[in-house]
Amino acid sequence: MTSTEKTEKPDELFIDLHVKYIQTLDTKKDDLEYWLTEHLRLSGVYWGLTALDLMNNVDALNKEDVVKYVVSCQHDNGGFGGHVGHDPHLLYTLYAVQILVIEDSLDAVNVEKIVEYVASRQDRQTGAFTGDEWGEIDTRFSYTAISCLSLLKRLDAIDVKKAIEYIMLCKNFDGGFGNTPGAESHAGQIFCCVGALAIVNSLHLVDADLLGWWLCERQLKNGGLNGRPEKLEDVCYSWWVLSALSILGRLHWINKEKLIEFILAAQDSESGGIADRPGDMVDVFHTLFGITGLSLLGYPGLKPVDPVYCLPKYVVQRIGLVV
Amino acid sequence: MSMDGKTLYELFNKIVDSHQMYFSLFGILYFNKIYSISNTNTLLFSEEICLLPYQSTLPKDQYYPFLLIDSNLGIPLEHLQKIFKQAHGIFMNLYVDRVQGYNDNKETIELVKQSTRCLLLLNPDLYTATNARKWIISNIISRYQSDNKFDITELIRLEIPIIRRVVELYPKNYYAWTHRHWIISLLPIDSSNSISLLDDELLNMEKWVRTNVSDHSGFHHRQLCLIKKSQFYNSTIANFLGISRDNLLNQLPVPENLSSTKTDHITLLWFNEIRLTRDLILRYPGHETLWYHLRFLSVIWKWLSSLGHIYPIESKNIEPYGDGDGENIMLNLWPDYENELKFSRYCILMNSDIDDEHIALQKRYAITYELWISELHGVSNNNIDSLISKLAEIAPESNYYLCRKSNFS
Repeated sequence: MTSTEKTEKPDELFIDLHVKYIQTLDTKKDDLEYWLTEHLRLSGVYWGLTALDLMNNVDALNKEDVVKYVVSCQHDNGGFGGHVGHDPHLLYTLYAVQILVIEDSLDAVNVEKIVEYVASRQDRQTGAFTGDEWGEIDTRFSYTAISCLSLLKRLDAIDVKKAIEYIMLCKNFDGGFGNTPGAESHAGQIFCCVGALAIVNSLHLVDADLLGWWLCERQLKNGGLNGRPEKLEDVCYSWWVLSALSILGRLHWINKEKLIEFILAAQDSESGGIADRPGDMVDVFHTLFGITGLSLLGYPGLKPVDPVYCLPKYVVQRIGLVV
Repeated sequence: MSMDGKTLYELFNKIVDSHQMYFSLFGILYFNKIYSISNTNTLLFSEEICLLPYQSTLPKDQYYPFLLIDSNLGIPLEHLQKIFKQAHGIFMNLYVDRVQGYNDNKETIELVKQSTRCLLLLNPDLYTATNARKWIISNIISRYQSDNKFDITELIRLEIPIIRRVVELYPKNYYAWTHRHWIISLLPIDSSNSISLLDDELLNMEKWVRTNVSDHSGFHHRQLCLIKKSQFYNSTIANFLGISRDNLLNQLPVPENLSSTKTDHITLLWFNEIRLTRDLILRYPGHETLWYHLRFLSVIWKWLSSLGHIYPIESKNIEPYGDGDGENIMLNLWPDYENELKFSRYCILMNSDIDDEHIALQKRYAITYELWISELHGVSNNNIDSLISKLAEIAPESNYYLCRKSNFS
């Protein structure tokens, strides 16, 4: 890279490069990273496919292959693993359902079994959800379960009232939410809690102004957002912070121009993909959340994203969840 | 030569056992440092271990295919998954046993210890690692809770140094901090062992926050310890869960009848924390975390005051803070609304002639704090509007204050 290129900030979104970057991810099987992230393969498909769809290129991945792969990750108990042969987990079960909804192919799997699996992860006494049989409890899993069942139109399978009660126990003095009762407020957890509450029509329980203020304070001088006070800015918080603000109807409280500038600067202008911050290595996770962030900010050339489900809005409309 | 998972797993355990390495359970290997706990509970620096992307080229070496040079253990990447799967299989079988009735013998416990040690050393997934550690502790507790001689604080005393090491090496680890909080939440409030342990933890945390003033997680953990300590003084104090600043504005809790148990301890505990925080704010200007901690303290102060646990104390009953030099007048102000404003304005004026990023941030955080407490104490809209106008001026890059300003102008 020459010195002039280094100082030049990209001022546009390199859609063609990003499409190509995502398309070739699955061909890098000799890379160490490919091997180390095997348990995240299904997540990778979700991140990549959603980004492609938002960039109007959903067909860049072969639909038949994608659906076949997702089906191969399902276990007898209904849950999905992160890759063929990996243990089932709520997170991957949501990713699987999200992919199938994008591909309009829910009929390829046994939906009733998925519902059974997700419902079995709720502790009926506390309302909390465990991610898998290891028993870890986290409000991320509350969101995962509620989002998944909402996409399947089967929220009746869980105790929604109890689920809300548990989430509200995780609210803190600053209006934010943590992963368990009493845990530190964290933008990622806030997205999960606010998103889950939005799905079950309980946003009135959120202190929208107070939390909105906290979320706005995540924006730093360089335009990027961090997830907690005095932590580094990171492109993925363009999603966690922004989607929560969007759900609360306070997106305009953010300085949009500066954030767009920050996300664009994190692109790899040669090989495509978006990194956590300018100058770092790109990955598909940050590529998606850079693009969803830009979509929420109304960046041209992208389909609108749904802030609650993190799916293209038209997909959520197609299954009749929003008008 | 291809080796099966069982052989590799056994060899791995042999190396770890023979070198008496007690691997912490949080994937510390990424920091190339592993600490151990001896039988006497003291923390010892142990040997280093790291993952190496290559293997021993000497098939006759006793540790082949592992590579042990001085204190560095190389684990061939190509075998990692096999070893992990072996440990995973053993551990998951034990887990099934637990669900169907815990297999209560020494052999099982050894298998749990050994497999989790291996699992967590190799598994970079921090959540799963933390979780498994929790699983072991919960099991030991449920197993021995009917035994009168069993003291949970002993178990916790063993766990704290491990987590301490983890968060010190990797302070951003949200899940390690959550785990540390979970451990403290287990302390029974009716045991003298517990109180000494909690006091140790508070002391640890004071040292930690004094040297890590931007670590929000550290302050958060300290907050939870202080609430726990308040519960030792008065067991009727509930966990401060699900209550935001705005909840307090809308509905203040009703005072309890405390006449028989009224002591100054709780008031002094929190007053001292406020003084510590002010001290740090003056020493280290421009740290958002410190001002956030002060925001928390302002809310809990109001909450405990309205419950009757905090009340004004005569100044002669309060020890002055610190070494008594001039600055301490600010530190020793009683934290009512007026005095909080005084402190904030003192911070704004201090060094205001110096052009420095931290000083500029300090000013912004101080005005933001004024806005925070003004809303907390329900002051008139006029005052709030003027604070917002000031913030819109000094923080023009933030749309938040501009948006709020446009609502009233």
